[in-house]
Amino acid sequence: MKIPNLPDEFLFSVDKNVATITLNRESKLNTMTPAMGKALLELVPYINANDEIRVVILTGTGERAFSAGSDVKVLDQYGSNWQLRNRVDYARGIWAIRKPVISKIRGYCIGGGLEMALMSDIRYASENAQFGAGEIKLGWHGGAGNTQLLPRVIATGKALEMLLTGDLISAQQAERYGLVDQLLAADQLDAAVDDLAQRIAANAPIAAQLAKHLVRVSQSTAVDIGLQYENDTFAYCFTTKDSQEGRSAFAEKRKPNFTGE
Amino acid sequence: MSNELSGSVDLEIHENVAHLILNRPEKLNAMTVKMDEEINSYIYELNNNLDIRAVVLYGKGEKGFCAGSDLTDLGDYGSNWEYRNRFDRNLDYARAIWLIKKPVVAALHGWVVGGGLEMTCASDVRVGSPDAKFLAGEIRWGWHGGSGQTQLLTHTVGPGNANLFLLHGEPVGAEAALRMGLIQEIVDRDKVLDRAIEIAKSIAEKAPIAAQMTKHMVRMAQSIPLEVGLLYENDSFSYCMTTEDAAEGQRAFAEKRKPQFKGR
Repeated sequence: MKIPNLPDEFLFSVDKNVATITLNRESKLNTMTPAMGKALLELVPYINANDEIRVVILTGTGERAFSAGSDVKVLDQYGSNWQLRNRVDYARGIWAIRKPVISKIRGYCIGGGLEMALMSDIRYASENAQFGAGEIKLGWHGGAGNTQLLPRVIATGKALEMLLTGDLISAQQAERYGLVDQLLAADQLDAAVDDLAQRIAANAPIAAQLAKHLVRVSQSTAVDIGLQYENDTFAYCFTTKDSQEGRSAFAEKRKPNFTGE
Repeated sequence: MSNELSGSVDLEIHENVAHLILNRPEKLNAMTVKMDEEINSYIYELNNNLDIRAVVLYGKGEKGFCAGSDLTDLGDYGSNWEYRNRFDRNLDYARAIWLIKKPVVAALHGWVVGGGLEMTCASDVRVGSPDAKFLAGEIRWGWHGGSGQTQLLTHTVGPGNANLFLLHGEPVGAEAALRMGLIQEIVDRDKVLDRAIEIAKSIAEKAPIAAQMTKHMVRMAQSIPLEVGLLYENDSFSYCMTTEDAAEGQRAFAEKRKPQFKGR
């Protein structure tokens, strides 16, 4: 599978089993245009199909913003209201990534930016990060997960406080709420995220991807169904070469070398 | 390699109806990886081209609609794990049908087997010829279908009938399929495609937003608790009433003329 052509507003690189997607529209707080959304959606099957990629980092260029969401000035580019409803949705693009996704957040993480962060699996942020679901101030609510995912990540009352006021919360508040999994000094964020990505990438990819999948299943299905599903994928894991390698390494008291098979 | 195998999936657009054609008649339209890639490559166009308001799905040739996956080409999907992940690599042809937002009418004749049956169940309205034979034969070879066979078929025909299909692994004829609700009509062999096109054209004359919302809500009825579905339906209905087409429908009703819908 070939890597799709990406616009300049999008940087993409792969290094040591870790792919990094960088929203690169710094002068506009890394806001998203329809063209950027389409590019992201084209990138996702490539990320899913490329076995070299075991973990994905999502971030934005610069200190001012992770992403301030959709560029409201170009919303009309989506077309009619019906076409907006049927848009290629960038936050859903993050959701469609099968590999674990870490959001590395500096500055504003607002609206659709918050939705992308919520569609990620783990969120690390610097102390200057600020979070908000500001859509309500403009006359609508988020359409790509803010009302559905925020209350699954943080407590219902806190979610509604954010969704109904549209006000920003600080990185420290976000960490207390559980929206940020780790809060770091600005100069330590990159190293912490890289370290986290490498620790995940060192584990068996099939087991890691199934674990992500099953955590999602746990948020979507009855617990008894989830437990049965878990047991079947657990059994599947034991058909993989990596599970044999894990057992051998354990017996031989060495570090396993997983290949994703 | 797949690219040495014959066959294609073709897309034709006739006014407001797209035709999705399985075109490998010499092999009963058995799907290769290349054909799988082709059908997936059309989905964006089908969903985003406003001129397309309905889709007809059919297979070429005398023998049947589709024999499912070409089992000689499964290796081209990659390792077991890669094959498992075909959904998120845009490489599953029954999933492709499921991802179409416009209403899909399937015209079925002869053999409708395995993945062919999964594409059928992923369609919205199904008409079949008297010689149509439906078969979920995967169990004979040591597995069950992975692209909706146990899930969509059960929603379509109910658990008892689905178990008969899935565990017995024997063909089911058109009459029985009609009884089960797998097909909605039986039409003569030489008219089945025309009938499917007729239904698709009729759908294409309706307000596109309302038609697509209807398809969506019928799917919701199969996926979510009824109380949530009823609330969702009412919000979707309210949305429909904000469209230009709903205003046109009300005007046309008052003026006793046929409405002209624009998809807005």
